[in-house]
Amino acid sequence: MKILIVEDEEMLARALAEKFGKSGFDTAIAHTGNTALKMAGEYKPDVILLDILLPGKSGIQVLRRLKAIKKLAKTPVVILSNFSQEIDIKHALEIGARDYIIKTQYPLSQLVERIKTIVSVKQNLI
Amino acid sequence: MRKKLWRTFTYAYTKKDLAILFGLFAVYFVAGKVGLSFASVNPSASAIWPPTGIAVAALILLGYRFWPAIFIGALFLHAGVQGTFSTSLGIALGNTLEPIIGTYLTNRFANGRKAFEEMQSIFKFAFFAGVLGAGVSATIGVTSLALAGFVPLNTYASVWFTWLLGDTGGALIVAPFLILWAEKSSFTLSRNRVPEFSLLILASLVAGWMVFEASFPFISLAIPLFVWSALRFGRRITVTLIVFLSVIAIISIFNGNYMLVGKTPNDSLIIAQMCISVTALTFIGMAAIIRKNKIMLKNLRQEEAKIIEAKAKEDAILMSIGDALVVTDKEGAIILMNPQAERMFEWKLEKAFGWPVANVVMIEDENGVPIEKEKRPITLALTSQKKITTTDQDNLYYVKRNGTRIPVGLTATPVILDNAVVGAIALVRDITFEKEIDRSKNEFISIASHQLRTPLSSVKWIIELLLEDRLAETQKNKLRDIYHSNERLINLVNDLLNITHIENGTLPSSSSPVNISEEIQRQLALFQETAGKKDVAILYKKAEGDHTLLIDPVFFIEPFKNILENAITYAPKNSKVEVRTETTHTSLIVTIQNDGPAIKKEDREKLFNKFYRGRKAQTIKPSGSGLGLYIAKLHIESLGGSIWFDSPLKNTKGVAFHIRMPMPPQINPLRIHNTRTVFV
Repeated sequence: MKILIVEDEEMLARALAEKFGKSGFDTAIAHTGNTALKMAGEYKPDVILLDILLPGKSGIQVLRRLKAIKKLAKTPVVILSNFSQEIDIKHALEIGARDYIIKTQYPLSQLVERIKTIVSVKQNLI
Repeated sequence: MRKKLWRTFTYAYTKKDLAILFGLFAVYFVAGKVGLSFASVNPSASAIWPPTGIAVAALILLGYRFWPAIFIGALFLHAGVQGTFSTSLGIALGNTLEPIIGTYLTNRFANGRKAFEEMQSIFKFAFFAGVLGAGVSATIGVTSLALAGFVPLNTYASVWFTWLLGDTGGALIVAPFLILWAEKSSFTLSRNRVPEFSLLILASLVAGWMVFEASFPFISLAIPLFVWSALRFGRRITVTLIVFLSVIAIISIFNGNYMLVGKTPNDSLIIAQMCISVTALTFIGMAAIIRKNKIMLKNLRQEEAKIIEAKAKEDAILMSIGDALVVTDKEGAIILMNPQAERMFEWKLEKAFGWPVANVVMIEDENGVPIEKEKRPITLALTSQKKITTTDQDNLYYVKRNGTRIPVGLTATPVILDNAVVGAIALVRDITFEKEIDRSKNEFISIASHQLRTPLSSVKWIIELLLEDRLAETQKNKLRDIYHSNERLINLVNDLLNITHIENGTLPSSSSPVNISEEIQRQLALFQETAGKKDVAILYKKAEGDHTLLIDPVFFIEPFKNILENAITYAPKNSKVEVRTETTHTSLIVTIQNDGPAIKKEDREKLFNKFYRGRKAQTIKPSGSGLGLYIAKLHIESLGGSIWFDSPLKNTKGVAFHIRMPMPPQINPLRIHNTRTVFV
C-alpha cells in the first residue's frame, strides 16, 4: 500500500513516514500543496494523509483540486490536522475528505489502524 | 356660622380694624344719605340704595367682624329720617342682617369673593344678596315702620317693593363693582389696545350725554357698549361702565329728563333699577363666560405647546438613537423610521411609509436564503405578542437596495394597548463590527490552538516511536513519564479551547435523545475497575420513570464523569460512592456522594472557579488542571441546569455533588451555537 504524506512540519512528517513504513506501507512525503498535487499524479498513492496548514496552497485547496482530477478523485484523502473547529471539519468532509483526524487525539498506532481500514474499504469497493 | 358670629362678638379689634370700621361707617352713611335723597314713596324707602352693595362687598372682602359699622351707620341714617328709636333699631337690624345673610350664603354656596367668575355663582349671588338678603331688610324695615304707624297698611306693598328693589339694585350693581376692583390681579392694557379702549370711553361719554341731555333710550345705547366691553375688556371695565351709565340714567330720570314707562318718578326709578340690575347680571355673566373661555383657550394653547414640545423632544430622542428604529402598525406597515433606519435600508420615510417592512428590506440567513415573511422578527412579535431578540448567532442579514448584505442584530417588541397589539417597534443594529471581532476571535482561537498542538503532536508521536525501539526499561519509563506529561498538556489545551468556545457561545452542539439512567450505568461500568483498585463500591439508586432528555450527550456525560471520577479519587479505601437520581415536577437531579473528607471551608466558595484546586486536591491528585468543575458547570448551565455540592453532610460524613437538569431541557441560547434565539 502506498501512502502520500502531505505535512510541512519536518518532525511530524518523519514520524509518520517511519511509523507507516514499519507498518508495511510505501511512503512518500510532500511538504507543500503544489508538491502534493504533483506527487499525487506521479506516485499514485492508495491513500493521502493531508495537513491543512501548508505553505502556498492550503490543504483544503489541494483537496478540492484532487477531487476535481478524474484520475485522483477516488483516492481516499484523510485530513490530519490540529484545527478542531467544527466548521473546518464540516467543510473538509463536504469537499470529500474521507475522515478528519486531530493529531493530538490519535496515537500513531491507532492512526495506522484507521488508515488501513480506509484503504481496505477502498480495495473492497474496487 | 355660629362660631364665626361668636368670634365677631368677641373679636378684639386692632387699631387698623377700628379705622376700617370708622371708614366703612362713613361711606355707608354718606351713600345712605345719597340713596335716601331719591326716596319718594316713603322717606325711609328709596329705589336707589347703594349702601346694600357697600355692606355686602365689605363683609365678603373684609369679614363678618365689620358688621357694627353697618349697624351703627344704618341706625344713625334712619334715626334722622323718621320714626322712633325702636323703628331705627329695627331698620338697623334688618339692614345688618341683609349683608350678613347675603355674605354667608355667598361664601357657602357661591364661591365667596370669586362669585363673579362663573355664571352659576353670579346668579346665586344675585339671589342670596339681591333677593333673600334684601327681602329680609325690606321686611324687617317696613314692618318696623308699619307697626309704629309710619307706613300705612295700604302702602305697605309699594313701600316694601321699593325698599326691596332699591336694595337689590345696590347689591347687583355696587357690590360687583367693589368686589371685582378689589381682586388682587391688576388691570393691564396693552399698548395696541389703548386706542380701542379710548374709543370705548369716548363712546360711553357720548352715550351718557345722549341719555342725560338728549333723552336717548338708555338700553339701546348701553347694550352695544356693554357687549363691546364684555368681549374686549373684561368684567371690571364692564361693571364700571354699567355703574357709570346707570348713575347717568338715574340722575336723568330723577331730574325728569326722561321718563321710562311709569306713572311716577319712583315707578320710573324702580323700572330703571330692574332693567339695570338685569342688564348688570347679564353682562357681568357674559364677561365671566368670556373670561373663562379665554382662560381655557390660554390653558389649551399652553397644553398644546407642552405637547408640541414633548413631541419634539420625543422625536429628537427617537432620531438620536444610534441604532435603526422602525415602528410599524399592527399589520406590519411602516409608520416611523429614524434617520439611521433610512440610511440602513436606503429608503426615505416618505417613500417607505405605509409599506410592509418585508417590501422595503429583505432579510436572509447566512446562506443567502430569504427569511419568509411569517418568520421575520417583526411579524413574530406582532403575532406572538412577545419580544423577539436575535443576536449574531442567528446570522441574519439585511439586503440593501444595492444588493450588499449587512449582518444585523434585532429586537422587535410588540406595542400593546388595552390588551391588543397596536403595532411593533424594532431596533436594528449593524453588527458587522461584532461579527468581525467574532471572526477574528475564532480565527485566533483556531490558530492559537493549532500552534500549541503542533509541537505536542510531534512529542507525542516521536515518544511513541521511541517506545517501540530497543531501549532499556529505565529509559522507557522516563519516556512514558514524558508521554504522560505531554498528554496532560494536550488535555489542558483541549480544556482551554472548550472553555473559550463555551464562553464565546461557539461550542458546537447537537441534541439527541439521551436516556440519563442508561448513560449513568454505562459510565459506572467504565469506572468499576478504577474504583475496584481502592475497594470502593459504586451503588446506584435510580428514580422511577423514563428519564430521556433531548440534549447534547457530551453536555451531561463530561460533567458526570468528572464528578464521578473525583468522588472515587477522594473516597477513602473500602468505602462507597453512591449515585442516585430523583425527579421533581420540573427537574431531574443526579447526586454523586462519597464518604470522603468534607470540602474545606476556604475551598467551598472557589471550587467552581477556573484553575482553582484546593490543597487536599493538589495532594491527592497533583495532575489535575483545576478546570474540570468549571467546565462541568458551564456544560450543565448550557442546558439550563445547575450544579452544586453539600459539604459537610448532615448526620453523615462525605461530600455530595448534585446535577440538576430541567425537564424539558431549557437550552441557554447564549451558550449554544446554532440555536435561534426567540421569544424572550
